[in-house]
Amino acid sequence: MKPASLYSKLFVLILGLLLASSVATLAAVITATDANIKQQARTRLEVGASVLQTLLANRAQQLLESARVLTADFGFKRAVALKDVATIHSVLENHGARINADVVTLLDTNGALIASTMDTNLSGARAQAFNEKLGSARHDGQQIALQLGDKAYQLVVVDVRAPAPIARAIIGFEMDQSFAKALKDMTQLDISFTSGSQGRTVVSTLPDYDTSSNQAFHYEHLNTTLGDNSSMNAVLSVSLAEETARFQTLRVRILIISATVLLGSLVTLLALLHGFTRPIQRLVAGARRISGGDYSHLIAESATGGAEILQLAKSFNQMQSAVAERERKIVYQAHHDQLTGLVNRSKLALDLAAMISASQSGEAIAVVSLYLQRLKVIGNALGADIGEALLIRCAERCQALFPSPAVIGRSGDTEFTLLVPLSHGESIESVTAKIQSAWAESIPLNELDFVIPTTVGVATYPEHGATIEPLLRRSAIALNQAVDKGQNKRIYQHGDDQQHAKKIRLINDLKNAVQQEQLTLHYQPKIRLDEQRVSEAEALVRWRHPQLGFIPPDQFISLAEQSGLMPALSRWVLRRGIADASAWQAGGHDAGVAINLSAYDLMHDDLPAYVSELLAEYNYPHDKLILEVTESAMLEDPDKAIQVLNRFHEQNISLAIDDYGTGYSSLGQLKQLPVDELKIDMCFIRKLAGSTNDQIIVQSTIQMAHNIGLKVVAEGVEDADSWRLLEQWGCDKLQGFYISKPAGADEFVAWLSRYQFPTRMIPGESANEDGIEPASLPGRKQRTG
Amino acid sequence: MRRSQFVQYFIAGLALPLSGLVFGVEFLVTDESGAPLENAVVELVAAPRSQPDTTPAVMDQVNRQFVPHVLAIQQGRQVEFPNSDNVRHHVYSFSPAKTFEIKMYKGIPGAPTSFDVPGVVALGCNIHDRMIGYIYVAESAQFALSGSDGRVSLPAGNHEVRVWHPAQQSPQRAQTVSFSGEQSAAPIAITVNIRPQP
Repeated sequence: MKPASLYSKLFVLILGLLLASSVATLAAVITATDANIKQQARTRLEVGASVLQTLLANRAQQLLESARVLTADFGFKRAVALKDVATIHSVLENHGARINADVVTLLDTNGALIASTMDTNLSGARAQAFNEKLGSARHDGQQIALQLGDKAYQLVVVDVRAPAPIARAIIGFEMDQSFAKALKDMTQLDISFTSGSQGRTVVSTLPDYDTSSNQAFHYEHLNTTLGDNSSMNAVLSVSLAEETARFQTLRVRILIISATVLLGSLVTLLALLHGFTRPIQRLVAGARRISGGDYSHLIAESATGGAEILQLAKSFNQMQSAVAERERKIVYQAHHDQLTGLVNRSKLALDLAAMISASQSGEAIAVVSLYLQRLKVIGNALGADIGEALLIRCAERCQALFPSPAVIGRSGDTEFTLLVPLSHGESIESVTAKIQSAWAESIPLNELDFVIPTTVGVATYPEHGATIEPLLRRSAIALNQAVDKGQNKRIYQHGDDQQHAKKIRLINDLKNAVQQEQLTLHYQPKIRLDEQRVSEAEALVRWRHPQLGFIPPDQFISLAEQSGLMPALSRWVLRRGIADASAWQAGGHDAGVAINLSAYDLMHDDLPAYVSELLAEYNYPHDKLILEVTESAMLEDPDKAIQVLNRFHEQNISLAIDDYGTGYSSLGQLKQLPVDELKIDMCFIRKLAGSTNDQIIVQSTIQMAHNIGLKVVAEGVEDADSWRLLEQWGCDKLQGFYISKPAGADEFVAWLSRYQFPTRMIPGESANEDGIEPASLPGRKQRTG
Repeated sequence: MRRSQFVQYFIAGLALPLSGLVFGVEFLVTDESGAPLENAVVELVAAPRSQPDTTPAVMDQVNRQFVPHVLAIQQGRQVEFPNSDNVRHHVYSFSPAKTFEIKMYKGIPGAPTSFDVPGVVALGCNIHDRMIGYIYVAESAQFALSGSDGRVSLPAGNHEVRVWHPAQQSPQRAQTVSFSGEQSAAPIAITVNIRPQP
C-alpha cells in the first residue's frame, strides 16, 4: 500500500483538531446556554415569586385596612350586635360593596357562622364544609387564600370589636383572571392559582394550563404559597421556549461563527499545506528530473517554503551540477580513449550515426580504417613509452589532416578509424592519398626518426552500408583484406564480407577440425641425388571440410595464425608426422620426415622441448627430422628465432630454410643461422628448363650455398630437363611432381616400397590426379600484428 | 384613680367586718404561667343578697381611657360616666347585660345609668376605638377585684366563686370555681386562661 502523503496526514490531523475544537465549543455553548436558560428561568421565577409575595402581601394589607375600616363602622357594629340575621346580611352586602369585597362572612367569636354574602342558603353540609375550610381563619389580621366553589379568594380575617371582639368578619376578594393578568403584567410571568395537594388549577394565565400535560416540559415552574397556612399555591411559569428563543439567536450566531471559523481555517489550512507541500513537490519533481538525467533546469530557489526548503533546493541544485559534472566526465571517459584523447569505438559508432542522420542529402561519408604497422613491434623493442608517444603523434597527425567535422577514433591498439565527410572536394582517393603522403614522412622522436607504414581500408556511406554496423564492419574487412593481401590500401568490394564471413566460419571450424581428425597429412618425398634414394618426405597438412570440401592450406594456415590456433596445429602436425615416420621406419624404410614450422613457432621457446619429448616418445632418431622455416618467419624477431633454432640445432635436428629467394635475406645473413639446408622456391624451378634467368639464379644459388656449407633442395621439379640441369649443377635433393605428388601416409609408404631410382631420365607422368594441386607451402604470408 | 382606690378600699372595708366574723378567704389569681393577674373579679356564688348601694358608681374617662379599667358593681346599682377629658366621648355598650349609648357629651351626663342584669358589660367609645372598659355586674354582694399582686380577700362562706378577667378566653362569661372549705393559711389559687394577645 502506498504510504499516505505528508499532505494528507497533516490535513487529516489538523482538520480533526479543528473539528474537535469546534464541536467542543458548540457543545460547551449549548450546555452553557441550556444551563443559563434554566438558571435565568429560575432566577426570573424566584424574583417573580418574591415580587408576587410582596404584591399579595401589599394587597392583603390594603384589604386588611379596608376590612378594619369597614368593621370599625359603628353602624356595622351595631347591626352585628343586634344579631338580626337579615339586617346583618344586608349590612354585609352594603358595607362589603364599599370596599369592593366579593365575599363578606361573619362568624361569632366561637367561629360559628352568623351570616355570609356568599350563599344565603348556606346550611347543613355545605355550611359545615365552608366552616371547615375557614377553620384556620381564627385570628384577627390573618390572611389566607381559599378556593370557595370554583373560585379562588384572598381572604382577610378581622375581629368586630364593640369594643371587645363580638364577631369575626372574613372579607374575601376573588383572585380572578383579571387579577392573575394584572399580576402577570407586573411579574412578567404566567401565574396559576392551584388548590389542594393535587394542585388543581383554579385560575391561570396560561392557555389550557394543565400541569399534567406535556406543556409542563416547555415551562419552568415555581410553587409559592398564598398567604399563611393556605391550602392554595401560586404557580409561576416561565416559558422555556421564550427563554430559548432569546438564546437561539446567540446559538445560531455561534454556529455561524464556528462554521465560518472552521471554513476559514480549512481554507487557510489548505493554503498552508499547499504552501508547505508545494515546494516539497517541486523538490520531488526536480529530484525525479535529475534522476532521469535531465540537468537542464535549476530548481527554483524561492523562500516561500521556508529556510529549510530553500536550503534543500540549493543543495539539490549543487548536487545537480555536481552530478552533471561527474556524469560529463564519466561520459567523456566512456567515449574517449584516455591516451590519445580520440573517441573510442562506441562513441565512434554514435558519431557515425549522427553524421548519417545529418547527411539527409545522401552526402557520402568515408569510413577509413587506418592500421599503423610495426607500432607494436617498436613498442616491444623500445619500450611502451615510445609506442604510446608515437601513437599520440599519429593521432595528432590524423586530427591535423582531417579537422572537424571529420571524426577520428581509436578503434584498436594500433588502429584508428576516420569518419570523413566526402564533400568540399574530398574523395576516397584524396583521403587515402593524404594519409599515405603524410605517413610517408618519418616521425621524429627522441632524436630518432620512425617510419610507420600504414594500411588503409575504406568503406563509404551510403554505397557500402546505410547504417553504422555494416559500415564499420566493412571498413575493417577492407583493412583486413589489405593486410592479408599485403596491400597498403583497399576499398571495400562487394563480396568481401562474404569471404570474411567464410573466414570467420573456417576459424571456428578449424578448432574442431584439429580434434575431429578432419586434418590429414600428405607426404611428398625428397630424393637425394648422390645416394640415389628417398632421403625424407615433407609433411603437408590437408583439411577436408565436411561441408566446404578441400580447403587450401595457405588459406587455413593463415587463419590458424590469425586466430591463435597455430600452436595446436603445429603440435598436431609434429605428432602426426613423427608418428607416421616412425611407423614407416619400423616398416623398413629409412626415409626421414620434414615438418614446417610457422613464424609463431619461432617466437615461442616451448616448442623445442615438445619436439624433444615427441622424439623420445616415438624413439625416433633426431637426425631423421628436418624442420623447415621460411626466411620471412624469422624477420619478425630474428634474435628470438635464432635462439629457438639453436635449441633445435643442439638436439641434432636438421633445419631447412624454406622458400628461399622470395624474401629479402642474403646468404650472408643465412650464414649466421644454424641451418643445414636451403630450399630454393619452386617459382625458380618449375620452368627452369625454359628460363635462362632462372637457370642463372639457381645455378649461382647452389654454388654459393655450397660455399657456405649448406645443402640445397630444389622444390617444384616437374620435368626431366630440370632434373638433369639440377643434377649437373650439384643440387643435393630434389622434390616435385616429377618424382611424386604429395600422398596420404599409406599411399606414400606403398609408393616408397615400389620406388626405383631411375637409372636414366624418363619424362615423368603427370601426377596431377584427384584434383590435387601442387603442394604449396604454408605460412608464406605473415601478418605482423 | 384616687377615687377608684377609694372605692376599693371602701368595699374592702365593708367586707372586713364580715371576714372578721367568720374568718376571711384569700385567693390568688394567676394566668397559666403563674403570673398574678390584676383586675380579676372574684364573686362568691349564692352569697346573701343585700340592697345595692344607692350612690352611683363612677366610670370616669381620663386621657381617652376608662378609669377604672374594670368596675365591679352589685346588680341594680347605677353608674355615672363623667367625661374628664376636654374632648367629647360617645360611650356605648352592645353587651347583652346592658345595651346603652351616651352620645357625644362633655362633663357629667344628665342621669346615671342603672345596671340591673348581672353580667359583663363591655364599654367602648364610638369616637375612640382604643378606649375599652368593663363593668362587672355581680349577682351577689360578695365580690372583689384583685390587686396587682393577684390577691383577693373575701369573707369565708360558700365554697364556690365566679371568676372573671377581661383578658380571659371567653370574655362574656365568668367561670365558676369550687374549692374545699377547709381552713388554710395559703391563698386559694385560681388560674385564668388568658386570650392570646393579637
